[in-house]
Amino acid sequence: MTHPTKRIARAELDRLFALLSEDARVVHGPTVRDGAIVDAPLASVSELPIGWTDQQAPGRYRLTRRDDAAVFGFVVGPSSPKPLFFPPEETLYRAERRADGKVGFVPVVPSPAPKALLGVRACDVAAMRIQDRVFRDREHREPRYAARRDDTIVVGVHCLAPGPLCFCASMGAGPRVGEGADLALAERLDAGGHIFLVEALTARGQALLSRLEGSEASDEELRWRDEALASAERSMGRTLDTAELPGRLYAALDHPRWEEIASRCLACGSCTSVCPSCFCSGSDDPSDLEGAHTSHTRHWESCFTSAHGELHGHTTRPRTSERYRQWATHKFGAWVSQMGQSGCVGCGRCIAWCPSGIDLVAEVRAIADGVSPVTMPVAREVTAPREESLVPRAATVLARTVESSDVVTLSLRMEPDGRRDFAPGQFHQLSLPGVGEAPISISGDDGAGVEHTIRAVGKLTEALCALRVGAQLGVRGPYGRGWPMDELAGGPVVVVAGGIGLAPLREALRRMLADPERYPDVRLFYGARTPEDLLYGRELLGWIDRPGFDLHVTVDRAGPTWRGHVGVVTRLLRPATVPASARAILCGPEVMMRFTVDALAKLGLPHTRQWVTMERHMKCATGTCGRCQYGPHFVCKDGPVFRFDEVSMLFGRHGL
Amino acid sequence: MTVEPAVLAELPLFRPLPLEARAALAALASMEKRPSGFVIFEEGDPPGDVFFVLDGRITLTMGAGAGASSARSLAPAEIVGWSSLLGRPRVARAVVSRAATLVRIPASDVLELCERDPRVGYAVMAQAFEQVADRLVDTRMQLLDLYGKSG
Ligand code: SF4
Ligand code: FES
Repeated sequence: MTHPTKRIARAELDRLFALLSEDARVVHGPTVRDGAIVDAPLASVSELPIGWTDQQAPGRYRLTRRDDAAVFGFVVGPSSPKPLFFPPEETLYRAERRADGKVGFVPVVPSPAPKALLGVRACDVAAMRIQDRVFRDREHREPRYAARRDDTIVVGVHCLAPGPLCFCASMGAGPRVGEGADLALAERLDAGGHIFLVEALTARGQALLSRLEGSEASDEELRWRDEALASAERSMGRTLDTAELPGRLYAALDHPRWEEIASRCLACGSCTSVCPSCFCSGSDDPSDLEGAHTSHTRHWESCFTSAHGELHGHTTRPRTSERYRQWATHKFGAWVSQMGQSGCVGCGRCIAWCPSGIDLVAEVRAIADGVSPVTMPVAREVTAPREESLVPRAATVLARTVESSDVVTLSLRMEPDGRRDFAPGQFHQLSLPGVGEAPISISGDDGAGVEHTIRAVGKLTEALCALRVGAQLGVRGPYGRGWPMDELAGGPVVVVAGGIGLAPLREALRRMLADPERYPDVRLFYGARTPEDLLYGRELLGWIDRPGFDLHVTVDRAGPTWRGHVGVVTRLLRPATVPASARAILCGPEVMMRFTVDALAKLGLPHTRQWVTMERHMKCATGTCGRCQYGPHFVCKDGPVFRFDEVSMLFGRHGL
Repeated sequence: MTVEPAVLAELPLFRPLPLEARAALAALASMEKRPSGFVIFEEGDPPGDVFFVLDGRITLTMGAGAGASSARSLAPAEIVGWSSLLGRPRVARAVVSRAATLVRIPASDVLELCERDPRVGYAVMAQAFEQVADRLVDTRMQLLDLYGKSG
């Protein structure tokens, strides 16, 4: 498609700058600072890196003088547009917890001056599209990002002389500026003079273009531009075969090269911080001395940190090889399943700015070339759009039940409306201002409130378990994909629970038992450490005589008065108790589920008829922080319930 | 109560036996019904008979007095008292935890049968080994803290 294109003189760039600055718009663009070309607010065209170029190599970046006055005669510096819209640190909301136990939450949403970005490379325009997709253009709209991003004019620059580290052509991101820019410039500096071809890609761009002095670009000029772009595409410094790359990378999770890279990688995270598309973040709850007023902040978080893989005080990716693997498999692989597109735009920054000069392209090629791919899950959207789902609402404790020495069930009234809408298997993010926030599965609806069964394992869960009736806390959600209640209907259902894993299953059980026509045959196999650790004893006893319900309970260890089964839960699964036609839903620690899945498979239940819940430490719960990644999945939105075949290639593997 | 050979065919341990051998064993076996709380043997008892659960539940416990702890309950068809096949004293106390029907066979008779026909002996011992190995795996899983503090 041909866009309206004008040829303007070099001097006309000043008018373009003036048009961009109208309405108090802040113009950002590249400029030379501290030996690098960085993005900054500009006062005039003269601040652009006129006559400068950059020399790049793995681990190396240097500015040199050109022998001409090209305005955009360089490739990319360390800074991308990313921090303009997704700042390295920001406050999401303020919270207070009053002496009477009541809580309040106030969202913080900026109202910045509108921006214009001048001189954005194709790769960075593509990266902005990716970030838009993560934060704004999916089911979830992050209002802070949207406030900074929405009214932004983007003026791109086609790359006619790519650098030695560039591979945007392989990633489908360049060198031609594509969707996402309003105008695209092509700079021509030859014996014929110094001109720009300005192409309008949007209606807004067209309006700007019509106000620039110039003539319509000639056929010769358009041909020159297209040929220059085609030759740029051919002269990329690096190339990468992206056909089935996600599947090839995931097929190579055990490649020895990951370990070898780790001997060179410093786990400094420079690669992730210069990346224009990396979106992973963590969050904190700094509070004042009394802990009464707090704010909830979000900050960039690299997958090279131990915090990023944190789960119950451990890290799921302790080794540098596992972190590097996470970075590469996420960027080139998981991203496609998560967002429907690769996370890499081929800008080469991670190669230039790696202190060890590790070349991501070379590493990925060494690992994935010639590997036959595994099948990857397709990108999946979740419904339930929420404009401000990162800010909790208050909830009041209606009832508190002690289940065992360290487990408490809280029934919560969601303020202000007392809504109790959730699907069995979904979770809420529960928080206490100044203490923190954690994902807690919903364990039921008691007719008055929404129940949450919580085990006191850390500072936050201890504080939650200690809440009294009438006290308040913060709640976000419900989130995630729950149990496949429709698919379970009709045939026998086997429910296997381990320890506190019964909690996320309880509401599913209640609903199945309440509807024997749809669920004629339900069998619960429940294992716990000791008889004292069994949850919901009274409720379970009340179910025993229901027709079409079978209960099998076992404990690992018991005193002599215990008359029930002793032994692991898998021992209860036998041909006599598990019909081969059953569907199974499982919840418990990963190791228990692993043994259970195998035992059920031996009894004739294929992986496609078994569902498991995965645990990761959710932070945002909306698919925007990357904390809960499990291979190609986000546990927060794609899970926590997965059909087993969706996770079988990852299950039980270390370092994911 | 006498035991029909068909009953022994239901027990994995004796499934490999030829028909005559099963009939011979059945003649030596007896069936008994035991109420909940009945102690079949005590930890440390000298070797004796081996048992099989037909229905009901047997629980194995170890340790004495307040420290006693149930280690495993046995499902139908499982062997109770395998250590007697090796001539070892009882390693646990076996107590009926839900009214049970048991088949009792003197260990010496089983061993004699095995010695007479090593092929039969191999098959029986392989089955016994299998069941003991299963228990070993289960015991390890129990040590793993399968239900974790995490959830
Ligand atoms: S690959 Fe390079 S930049 Fe990235 S963490 Fe390792 S040493 Fe740092
Ligand atoms: S992406 Fe943030 S918790 Fe899932």
